[in-house]
Amino acid sequence: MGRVIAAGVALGLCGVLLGAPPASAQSGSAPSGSLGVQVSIDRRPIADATVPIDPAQQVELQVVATNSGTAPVKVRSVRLSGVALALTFFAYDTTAPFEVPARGSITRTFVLDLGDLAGQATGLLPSSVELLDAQRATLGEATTVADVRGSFWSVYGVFGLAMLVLTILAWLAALLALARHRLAPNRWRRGLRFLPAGFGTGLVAVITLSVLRLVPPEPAIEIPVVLGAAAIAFLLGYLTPHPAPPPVVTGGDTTVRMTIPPTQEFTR
Amino acid sequence: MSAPAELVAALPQYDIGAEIGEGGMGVVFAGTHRTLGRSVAIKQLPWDVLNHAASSELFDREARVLASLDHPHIVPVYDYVRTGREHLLVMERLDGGTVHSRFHGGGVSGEQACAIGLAMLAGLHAAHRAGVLHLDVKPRNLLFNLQGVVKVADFGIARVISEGATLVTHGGEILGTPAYIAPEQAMGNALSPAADVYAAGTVLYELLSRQLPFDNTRGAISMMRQHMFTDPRPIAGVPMPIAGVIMRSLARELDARYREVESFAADLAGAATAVYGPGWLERSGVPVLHLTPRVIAGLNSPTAPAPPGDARTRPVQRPSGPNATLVALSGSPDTGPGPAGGWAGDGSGGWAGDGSGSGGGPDSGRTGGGSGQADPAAGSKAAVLWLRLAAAAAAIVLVVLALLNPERLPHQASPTLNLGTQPVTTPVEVDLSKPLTLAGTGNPGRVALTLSAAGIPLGSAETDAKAAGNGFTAQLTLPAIARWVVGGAVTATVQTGPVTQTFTLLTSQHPLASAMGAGSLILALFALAYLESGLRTIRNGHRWRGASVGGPVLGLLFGAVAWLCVSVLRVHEPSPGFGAGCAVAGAVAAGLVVAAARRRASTVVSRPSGR
Repeated sequence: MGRVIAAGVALGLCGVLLGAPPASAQSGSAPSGSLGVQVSIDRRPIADATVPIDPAQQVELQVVATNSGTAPVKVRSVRLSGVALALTFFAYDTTAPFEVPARGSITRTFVLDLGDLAGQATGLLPSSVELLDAQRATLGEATTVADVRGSFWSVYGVFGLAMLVLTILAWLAALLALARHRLAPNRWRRGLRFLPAGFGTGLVAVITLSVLRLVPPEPAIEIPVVLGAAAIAFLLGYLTPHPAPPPVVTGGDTTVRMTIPPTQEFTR
Repeated sequence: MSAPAELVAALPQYDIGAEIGEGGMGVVFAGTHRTLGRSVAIKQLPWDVLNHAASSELFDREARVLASLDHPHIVPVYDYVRTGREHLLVMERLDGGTVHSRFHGGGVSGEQACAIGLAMLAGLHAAHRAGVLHLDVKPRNLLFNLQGVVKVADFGIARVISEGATLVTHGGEILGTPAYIAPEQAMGNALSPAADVYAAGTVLYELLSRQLPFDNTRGAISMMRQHMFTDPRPIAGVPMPIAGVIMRSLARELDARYREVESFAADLAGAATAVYGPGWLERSGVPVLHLTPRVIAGLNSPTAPAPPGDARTRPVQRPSGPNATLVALSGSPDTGPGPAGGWAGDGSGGWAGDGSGSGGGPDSGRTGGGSGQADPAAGSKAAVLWLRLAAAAAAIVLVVLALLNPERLPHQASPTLNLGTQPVTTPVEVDLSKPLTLAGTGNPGRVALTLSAAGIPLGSAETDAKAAGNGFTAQLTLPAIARWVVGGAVTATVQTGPVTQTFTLLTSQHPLASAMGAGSLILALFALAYLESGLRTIRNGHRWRGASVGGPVLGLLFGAVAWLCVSVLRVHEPSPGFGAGCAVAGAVAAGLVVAAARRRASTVVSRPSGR
């Protein structure tokens, strides 16, 4: 059973790792695709800044697309999305075809109604503005950290709070089991017992802290933080002592039935 | 727990009450004879080991022998019923408690212990002469009736349940109580009255010295192995003539041990008279009946015990004449305490073993023997108390040091050096998720920023300075992980060319939202849980290998991370001196706690842990 759990955890981690976005995403304008993109939200550049987004109000999205190539590039739509740990918590597409001439730039302004974003996300969330072509391939992208003023009970908020509660419970359970000799005799299984607590700690560091607006997330290091926390917790569990057998109750004056102790002393 | 239906059906003449005891020899229920109104104890023997035809026949035969035993220091058997798989013994119910409960309740004086020993040996002697071995002698099987008379219970049951001569069950297991079992019984060898001598000697050893002859902290198997292969530790605090008798009864080799209980009793009586003086038995307040002439002779002639192998150790004999009767108390229980004030006479209490009696009380009797007997249990309790108090003091020192950590450490920084728009001469609060801009005078060329807490590096950044007017600016980007690691207040070191400046840097995020905050809290809890795990190991009677090192190391870890957690949460700049002090205080506290637990575990030698 322990091996099955370990295999499941390993598979889950591999899935998260393989499903993660490329770690080369940079804040501000990014040369992802053939267009350079500079974005302002409500007339505030998003490069190296935390952009507040109030779902109750319309958002004015200004995109400056620069084509450094020799052929014009046709843009079909613009997407605004928020992603954490490879999970997309919100995404808005606006179809607005335009063409960026070769070695030229185009500025377009869109007005987005993000009314239902309040139920999808809250807190500091890694976000991106992408220009897509007709095949929905990314032509250019700008990333930033959005400070979404959404509901605490949004999908992202509840996910972050649930992770916090589950992580606290996982740590309490593991530490109480350690104190009360309730851990498995096998050292690797003890490590696995602590692994969920560490995994949760990493998720809390990435998600819950951003929900609570305490620490802005950093896409390039989200996965290492989760894996590092899980590895440290596993190591702690691995280092825990072997649980002692039940209390000695027969050393006093209780009549017992037991096997005859070995008598190798006689043959030494 | 109510009696099972089979039991009620098997004994219709009895009103079956609640369960009053349970052990390896079966379950005991209270009962009352419906016609006679006599209170009885009904022992339901474990049927799982009696379901062999040979065992049942053996028990039938043994029960008849048990019922024939008629001695004032043996619990009488009134009836034996066998129906189907049930084997029921109906015995006298003794409501005066056990020697175990008296011993752990108020204590037993030296005179009382010897008197109990004589009564126990008298009962054993009578049984041995009838050909019955007890094989499970222990304080819990020595019962008091309401008149304070000691009676030995559970005679021969162990032997019946076993295969007979070797006390090995059909499953290849041995029966017995590890703390009192004789070496030959533990090894499954042939048994003789000497096995009961050994167990009785262990009981007396415990009553007189308040500890068992072997280390009782390592589990049942270890205890039995010690009985088999180790000599008992010399009895402490017991006057020599008595100590010699007790130690001889505990000899591992049969040749060196009393071979039968009468010799043991005679030597014990003589040694006790030599130590406590004539009349000690009366002063003890414990009625001892039906002593043999040989024991009475020993009682009246104080002598040192004979060396091992003495001719007085004789094989078991059949009865050879009327036994003498000696009643210790001059009056009935209703007459109240005896002349020495040692026994209240109600059979349920009034033991003066706590030394609170009059001048002629038990303790004075013990010290009157010239030994000045110490009280190891009390001394050990005091040591444990002092160790705990010292540990509490160290813990208080830890807390005080953690709280006394200064808010800011002294730094030397140029007033022209700015971080962002603030001069670094005062603490600067920054958002570590954003690049930091340093500005100052001159052109240092290369600028490096290092964050540290108590000298431990947390992250650094380095860049080329750019000229700006008369000075420079440098935009430093710390590693992304820094925002998760750094919390509270830390020390920032700026290297501008050859000049090194330090200042206090505050993080804008909540202190707990960092590895320094939450991580130190988790590590502190982990160290506490680990320490509690080790202490629980000791309390449960096991050995915690490496406790003398592991305990202080865990305390060291706890002290260090607790100090860090407190400093981070209070946004105080960690000071290495206070951190080292907290770590040392934690190590001392944990070491003392471990020492107290080990000391306590080593003294609680005869009580089941129950934790």
